[in-house]
Amino acid sequence: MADPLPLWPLLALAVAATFVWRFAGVVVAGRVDVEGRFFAWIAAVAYAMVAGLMARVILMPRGDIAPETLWPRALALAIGFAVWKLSGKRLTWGLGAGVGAFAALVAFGLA
Amino acid sequence: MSRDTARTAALKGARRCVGVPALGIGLSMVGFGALAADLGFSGLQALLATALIWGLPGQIAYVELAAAGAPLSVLIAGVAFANMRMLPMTVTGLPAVLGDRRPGFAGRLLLVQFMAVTAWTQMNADTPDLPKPARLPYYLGFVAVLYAAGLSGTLIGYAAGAVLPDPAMRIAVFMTPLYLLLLVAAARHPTNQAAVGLGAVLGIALFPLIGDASVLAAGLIGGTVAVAARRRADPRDG
Repeated sequence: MADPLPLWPLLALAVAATFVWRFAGVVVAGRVDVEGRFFAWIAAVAYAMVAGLMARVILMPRGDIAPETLWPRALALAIGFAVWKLSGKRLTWGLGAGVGAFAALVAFGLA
Repeated sequence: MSRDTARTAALKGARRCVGVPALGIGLSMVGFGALAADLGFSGLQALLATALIWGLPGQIAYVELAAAGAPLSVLIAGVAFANMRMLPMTVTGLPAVLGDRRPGFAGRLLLVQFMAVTAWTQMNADTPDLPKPARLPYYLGFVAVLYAAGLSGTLIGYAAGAVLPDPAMRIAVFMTPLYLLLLVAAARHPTNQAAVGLGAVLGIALFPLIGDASVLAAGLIGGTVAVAARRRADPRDG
Protein backbone atom coordinates (compact mmCIF):
# COMPACT_ATOMS: atom_id res chain seq x y z
CA MET A 1 0.00 0.00 0.00
CA ALA A 2 2.06 2.89 -1.32
CA ASP A 3 -0.43 5.71 -1.04
CA PRO A 4 -2.84 5.86 1.90
CA LEU A 5 -5.01 8.58 0.32
CA PRO A 6 -7.27 6.37 -1.85
CA LEU A 7 -8.35 4.68 1.38
CA TRP A 8 -10.45 7.65 2.46
CA PRO A 9 -13.41 6.83 0.15
CA LEU A 10 -13.15 3.19 1.32
CA LEU A 11 -13.30 4.30 4.94
CA ALA A 12 -16.41 6.35 4.14
CA LEU A 13 -18.01 3.26 2.63
CA ALA A 14 -17.10 1.15 5.66
CA VAL A 15 -18.56 3.80 7.97
CA ALA A 16 -21.74 3.89 5.88
CA ALA A 17 -21.99 0.09 5.89
CA THR A 18 -22.12 0.20 9.69
CA PHE A 19 -24.21 3.37 10.02
CA VAL A 20 -27.00 1.91 7.89
CA TRP A 21 -27.73 -0.77 10.56
CA ARG A 22 -27.84 1.72 13.39
CA PHE A 23 -30.06 4.02 11.31
CA ALA A 24 -32.42 1.14 10.48
CA GLY A 25 -32.40 0.17 14.15
CA VAL A 26 -33.52 3.63 15.25
CA VAL A 27 -36.28 3.61 12.61
CA VAL A 28 -37.52 0.18 13.70
CA ALA A 29 -37.01 0.69 17.45
CA GLY A 30 -39.93 3.10 17.74
CA ARG A 31 -42.29 0.73 15.94
CA VAL A 32 -41.85 -2.55 17.73
CA ASP A 33 -43.63 -3.52 20.91
CA VAL A 34 -40.94 -3.91 23.54
CA GLU A 35 -42.79 -6.78 25.21
CA GLY A 36 -43.83 -8.43 21.97
CA ARG A 37 -42.67 -11.55 20.22
CA PHE A 38 -40.83 -9.73 17.45
CA PHE A 39 -38.76 -7.89 20.03
CA ALA A 40 -37.99 -11.12 21.87
CA TRP A 41 -36.87 -12.68 18.62
CA ILE A 42 -34.66 -9.71 17.69
CA ALA A 43 -33.01 -9.86 21.12
CA ALA A 44 -32.42 -13.62 20.84
CA VAL A 45 -30.88 -13.16 17.38
CA ALA A 46 -28.58 -10.45 18.72
CA TYR A 47 -27.49 -12.61 21.66
CA ALA A 48 -26.86 -15.60 19.39
CA MET A 49 -25.00 -13.46 16.86
CA VAL A 50 -22.68 -11.96 19.47
CA ALA A 51 -22.08 -15.36 21.08
CA GLY A 52 -21.35 -16.94 17.69
CA LEU A 53 -18.91 -14.22 16.73
CA MET A 54 -17.10 -14.13 20.06
CA ALA A 55 -16.78 -17.92 20.28
CA ARG A 56 -15.33 -17.93 16.79
CA VAL A 57 -12.90 -15.06 17.54
CA ILE A 58 -11.74 -16.82 20.74
CA LEU A 59 -11.16 -20.20 19.09
CA MET A 60 -10.26 -19.21 15.53
CA PRO A 61 -8.68 -15.73 15.62
CA ARG A 62 -8.42 -14.14 12.18
CA GLY A 63 -10.04 -17.22 10.71
CA ASP A 64 -7.26 -19.59 11.73
CA ILE A 65 -8.87 -23.04 12.02
CA ALA A 66 -5.64 -25.05 12.58
CA PRO A 67 -6.07 -27.58 15.45
CA GLU A 68 -2.78 -26.57 17.11
CA THR A 69 -4.05 -23.03 17.69
CA LEU A 70 -7.57 -24.22 18.44
CA TRP A 71 -7.09 -26.72 21.27
CA PRO A 72 -5.23 -24.48 23.78
CA ARG A 73 -7.82 -21.78 23.18
CA ALA A 74 -10.65 -24.27 23.67
CA LEU A 75 -9.02 -25.44 26.92
CA ALA A 76 -8.60 -21.88 28.23
CA LEU A 77 -12.20 -21.10 27.25
CA ALA A 78 -13.47 -24.23 29.04
CA ILE A 79 -11.52 -23.33 32.20
CA GLY A 80 -12.79 -19.77 32.15
CA PHE A 81 -16.37 -20.91 31.57
CA ALA A 82 -16.20 -23.57 34.32
CA VAL A 83 -14.79 -21.11 36.88
CA TRP A 84 -17.39 -18.52 35.87
CA LYS A 85 -20.17 -21.08 36.36
CA LEU A 86 -18.80 -22.47 39.65
CA SER A 87 -18.21 -19.01 41.11
CA GLY A 88 -21.89 -18.14 40.67
CA LYS A 89 -21.37 -16.43 37.31
CA ARG A 90 -18.83 -13.92 38.58
CA LEU A 91 -17.43 -12.23 35.50
CA THR A 92 -14.04 -11.27 36.92
CA TRP A 93 -13.42 -14.82 38.19
CA GLY A 94 -14.26 -16.45 34.87
CA LEU A 95 -12.35 -13.87 32.90
CA GLY A 96 -9.31 -14.09 35.19
CA ALA A 97 -9.27 -17.89 35.04
CA GLY A 98 -9.71 -18.02 31.26
CA VAL A 99 -7.11 -15.36 30.47
CA GLY A 100 -4.78 -16.78 33.13
CA ALA A 101 -5.04 -20.26 31.65
CA PHE A 102 -4.40 -18.92 28.18
CA ALA A 103 -1.42 -16.85 29.41
CA ALA A 104 0.02 -19.99 31.05
CA LEU A 105 -0.38 -21.94 27.81
CA VAL A 106 1.33 -19.12 25.91
CA ALA A 107 4.13 -19.00 28.52
CA PHE A 108 4.74 -22.73 28.09
CA GLY A 109 4.78 -22.33 24.33
CA LEU A 110 1.57 -24.32 23.89
CA ALA A 111 -0.58 -21.54 22.46
CA MET B 1 -34.95 14.49 37.38
CA SER B 2 -32.57 16.95 38.92
CA ARG B 3 -29.18 17.82 37.53
CA ASP B 4 -27.50 16.28 40.53
CA THR B 5 -29.23 12.94 40.14
CA ALA B 6 -28.31 12.89 36.45
CA ARG B 7 -24.72 13.65 37.30
CA THR B 8 -24.66 10.93 39.94
CA ALA B 9 -26.04 8.42 37.42
CA ALA B 10 -23.51 9.49 34.77
CA LEU B 11 -20.65 9.12 37.23
CA LYS B 12 -21.97 5.72 38.27
CA GLY B 13 -22.00 4.64 34.63
CA ALA B 14 -18.50 5.99 34.09
CA ARG B 15 -17.23 4.15 37.17
CA ARG B 16 -18.89 0.95 35.99
CA CYS B 17 -16.90 1.22 32.77
CA VAL B 18 -13.54 1.78 34.45
CA GLY B 19 -11.99 -1.65 34.84
CA VAL B 20 -12.88 -4.66 32.75
CA PRO B 21 -15.08 -2.97 30.10
CA ALA B 22 -12.69 -0.08 29.40
CA LEU B 23 -9.67 -2.35 29.66
CA GLY B 24 -11.27 -4.90 27.35
CA ILE B 25 -12.14 -2.35 24.68
CA GLY B 26 -8.83 -0.55 25.13
CA LEU B 27 -6.86 -3.76 24.66
CA SER B 28 -8.93 -4.97 21.73
CA MET B 29 -8.45 -1.59 20.06
CA VAL B 30 -4.72 -1.88 20.78
CA GLY B 31 -4.91 -5.02 18.69
CA PHE B 32 -6.82 -3.16 15.97
CA GLY B 33 -4.37 -0.22 15.96
CA ALA B 34 -1.42 -2.61 15.66
CA LEU B 35 -3.14 -4.44 12.80
CA ALA B 36 -3.90 -1.18 10.97
CA ALA B 37 -0.26 -0.08 11.33
CA ASP B 38 0.91 -3.45 10.09
CA LEU B 39 -1.32 -3.18 7.01
CA GLY B 40 0.01 0.28 6.12
CA PHE B 41 -2.77 2.60 7.23
CA SER B 42 -2.03 6.05 8.62
CA GLY B 43 -2.61 6.72 12.31
CA LEU B 44 -5.42 9.14 11.49
CA GLN B 45 -7.18 6.55 9.33
CA ALA B 46 -6.93 3.96 12.10
CA LEU B 47 -8.27 6.45 14.64
CA LEU B 48 -11.17 7.53 12.42
CA ALA B 49 -12.07 3.91 11.66
CA THR B 50 -12.47 3.32 15.40
CA ALA B 51 -14.23 6.64 16.00
CA LEU B 52 -16.73 6.39 13.15
CA ILE B 53 -17.33 2.65 12.71
CA TRP B 54 -17.15 1.79 16.44
CA GLY B 55 -17.62 -1.92 15.92
CA LEU B 56 -14.48 -4.04 16.00
CA PRO B 57 -15.41 -6.87 13.61
CA GLY B 58 -16.41 -4.34 10.93
CA GLN B 59 -13.23 -2.34 11.53
CA ILE B 60 -11.14 -5.46 11.10
CA ALA B 61 -13.07 -6.41 7.95
CA TYR B 62 -12.46 -2.88 6.62
CA VAL B 63 -8.68 -2.79 7.15
CA GLU B 64 -8.18 -6.36 5.94
CA LEU B 65 -10.29 -5.97 2.79
CA ALA B 66 -9.13 -2.45 1.94
CA ALA B 67 -5.49 -3.44 2.33
CA ALA B 68 -6.07 -6.54 0.20
CA GLY B 69 -7.52 -4.38 -2.56
CA ALA B 70 -10.81 -6.24 -2.48
CA PRO B 71 -13.58 -5.13 -4.88
CA LEU B 72 -15.88 -2.43 -3.51
CA SER B 73 -18.85 -4.80 -3.35
CA VAL B 74 -16.86 -7.26 -1.21
CA LEU B 75 -15.62 -4.49 1.08
CA ILE B 76 -19.12 -3.09 1.64
CA ALA B 77 -20.70 -6.53 2.12
CA GLY B 78 -17.86 -7.65 4.39
CA VAL B 79 -18.16 -4.66 6.73
CA ALA B 80 -21.96 -4.70 6.64
CA PHE B 81 -22.04 -8.40 7.43
CA ALA B 82 -19.51 -8.07 10.24
CA ASN B 83 -21.44 -5.24 11.87
CA MET B 84 -24.98 -6.38 11.10
CA ARG B 85 -25.63 -7.08 14.78
CA MET B 86 -25.80 -3.27 15.21
CA LEU B 87 -29.40 -3.55 13.96
CA PRO B 88 -30.78 -5.87 16.67
CA MET B 89 -28.52 -4.23 19.25
CA THR B 90 -29.91 -0.79 18.38
CA VAL B 91 -33.50 -2.02 18.40
CA THR B 92 -33.15 -3.56 21.85
CA GLY B 93 -30.43 -1.34 23.30
CA LEU B 94 -32.03 2.03 22.56
CA PRO B 95 -35.20 1.47 24.64
CA ALA B 96 -33.04 0.05 27.44
CA VAL B 97 -30.98 3.25 27.75
CA LEU B 98 -33.69 5.82 26.98
CA GLY B 99 -35.68 5.11 30.15
CA ASP B 100 -38.34 7.80 30.27
CA ARG B 101 -36.53 10.14 27.87
CA ARG B 102 -37.81 10.77 24.34
CA PRO B 103 -35.14 12.57 22.29
CA GLY B 104 -35.79 13.40 18.62
CA PHE B 105 -34.74 11.21 15.72
CA ALA B 106 -31.35 12.92 15.29
CA GLY B 107 -30.71 12.63 19.02
CA ARG B 108 -31.52 8.94 19.04
CA LEU B 109 -29.34 8.44 15.98
CA LEU B 110 -26.45 10.15 17.75
CA LEU B 111 -26.98 8.06 20.89
CA VAL B 112 -26.76 4.74 19.04
CA GLN B 113 -23.49 5.68 17.31
CA PHE B 114 -21.90 4.70 20.63
CA MET B 115 -23.94 1.53 21.00
CA ALA B 116 -21.76 -1.49 20.28
CA VAL B 117 -21.41 -4.90 21.80
CA THR B 118 -19.79 -3.95 25.13
CA ALA B 119 -22.22 -1.14 25.93
CA TRP B 120 -25.16 -3.19 24.69
CA THR B 121 -24.45 -6.22 26.88
CA GLN B 122 -23.56 -4.09 29.89
CA MET B 123 -26.66 -1.90 29.55
CA ASN B 124 -28.91 -4.96 29.17
CA ALA B 125 -27.42 -6.29 32.39
CA ASP B 126 -27.47 -3.04 34.39
CA THR B 127 -30.36 -0.80 33.32
CA PRO B 128 -33.27 -2.97 34.54
CA ASP B 129 -32.05 -2.29 38.09
CA LEU B 130 -31.85 1.48 37.54
CA PRO B 131 -34.68 3.98 37.90
CA LYS B 132 -35.81 5.06 34.42
CA PRO B 133 -34.57 8.68 34.63
CA ALA B 134 -31.08 7.45 35.57
CA ARG B 135 -30.67 5.16 32.56
CA LEU B 136 -29.67 7.68 29.87
CA PRO B 137 -27.07 9.53 31.98
CA TYR B 138 -25.74 6.14 33.15
CA TYR B 139 -25.35 5.08 29.51
CA LEU B 140 -23.66 8.36 28.55
CA GLY B 141 -21.21 8.10 31.44
CA PHE B 142 -20.43 4.52 30.52
CA VAL B 143 -19.87 5.13 26.80
CA ALA B 144 -17.85 8.31 27.40
CA VAL B 145 -15.23 6.27 29.25
CA LEU B 146 -15.54 3.38 26.79
CA TYR B 147 -15.10 5.64 23.74
CA ALA B 148 -12.08 7.36 25.26
CA ALA B 149 -10.56 3.97 26.07
CA GLY B 150 -11.21 2.72 22.52
CA LEU B 151 -9.66 5.76 20.86
CA SER B 152 -6.67 5.72 23.22
CA GLY B 153 -6.21 2.00 22.64
CA THR B 154 -6.22 2.47 18.87
CA LEU B 155 -3.50 5.11 19.06
CA ILE B 156 -1.43 3.15 21.59
CA GLY B 157 -1.72 0.00 19.47
CA TYR B 158 -0.80 1.91 16.34
CA ALA B 159 2.28 3.36 18.01
CA ALA B 160 3.31 0.32 20.04
CA GLY B 161 2.13 -2.53 17.83
CA ALA B 162 5.57 -2.98 16.40
CA VAL B 163 7.18 -2.89 19.84
CA LEU B 164 4.99 -5.29 21.86
CA PRO B 165 6.06 -8.93 21.68
CA ASP B 166 3.61 -11.20 19.89
CA PRO B 167 2.75 -13.42 22.92
CA ALA B 168 1.71 -10.38 24.99
CA MET B 169 -0.45 -9.25 22.09
CA ARG B 170 -2.12 -12.66 21.79
CA ILE B 171 -3.03 -12.72 25.48
CA ALA B 172 -4.39 -9.17 25.32
CA VAL B 173 -6.51 -9.97 22.28
CA PHE B 174 -7.87 -13.14 23.94
CA MET B 175 -9.44 -11.18 26.77
CA THR B 176 -12.07 -9.08 24.99
CA PRO B 177 -14.06 -11.82 23.23
CA LEU B 178 -14.02 -13.94 26.41
CA TYR B 179 -15.31 -10.99 28.41
CA LEU B 180 -18.11 -10.42 25.91
CA LEU B 181 -18.99 -14.11 25.67
CA LEU B 182 -19.30 -14.41 29.47
CA LEU B 183 -21.29 -11.20 29.59
CA VAL B 184 -23.89 -12.43 27.07
CA ALA B 185 -23.90 -15.87 28.74
CA ALA B 186 -25.13 -14.11 31.89
CA ALA B 187 -28.36 -13.10 30.07
CA ARG B 188 -31.30 -13.17 32.47
CA HIS B 189 -34.00 -14.55 30.19
CA PRO B 190 -33.81 -18.33 29.56
CA THR B 191 -34.57 -17.77 25.86
CA ASN B 192 -31.53 -15.53 25.53
CA GLN B 193 -29.38 -17.98 27.49
CA ALA B 194 -30.38 -20.70 25.04
CA ALA B 195 -29.68 -18.35 22.14
CA VAL B 196 -26.17 -17.72 23.48
CA GLY B 197 -25.43 -21.46 23.75
CA LEU B 198 -26.81 -22.24 20.31
CA GLY B 199 -25.14 -19.21 18.74
CA ALA B 200 -21.73 -20.08 20.18
CA VAL B 201 -21.92 -23.69 18.96
CA LEU B 202 -23.22 -22.72 15.52
CA GLY B 203 -20.72 -19.88 15.13
CA ILE B 204 -17.84 -22.29 15.72
CA ALA B 205 -19.25 -25.23 13.78
CA LEU B 206 -20.29 -23.24 10.70
CA PHE B 207 -17.21 -21.02 10.39
CA PRO B 208 -14.98 -23.60 8.64
CA LEU B 209 -17.82 -24.23 6.19
CA ILE B 210 -19.19 -20.77 5.35
CA GLY B 211 -16.65 -18.29 6.76
CA ASP B 212 -17.85 -14.94 8.08
CA ALA B 213 -21.44 -15.68 7.06
CA SER B 214 -21.42 -18.06 10.06
CA VAL B 215 -22.05 -15.06 12.34
CA LEU B 216 -25.26 -14.31 10.49
CA ALA B 217 -26.34 -17.96 10.39
CA ALA B 218 -25.54 -18.48 14.08
CA GLY B 219 -27.61 -15.42 14.98
CA LEU B 220 -30.64 -16.18 12.84
CA ILE B 221 -30.76 -19.92 13.45
CA GLY B 222 -29.70 -19.81 17.11
CA GLY B 223 -32.06 -16.95 17.96
CA THR B 224 -35.02 -18.40 16.08
CA VAL B 225 -34.59 -21.91 17.49
CA ALA B 226 -34.23 -20.53 21.03
CA VAL B 227 -37.44 -18.50 20.72
CA ALA B 228 -39.35 -21.39 19.09
CA ALA B 229 -38.20 -23.92 21.71
CA ARG B 230 -39.18 -21.61 24.53
CA ARG B 231 -42.61 -21.02 23.04
CA ARG B 232 -43.19 -24.75 22.68
CA ALA B 233 -42.11 -25.34 26.28
CA ASP B 234 -44.45 -22.65 27.57
CA PRO B 235 -47.08 -21.44 25.09
CA ARG B 236 -48.10 -18.57 27.36
CA ASP B 237 -44.59 -17.14 27.20
CA GLY B 238 -44.11 -14.70 24.36
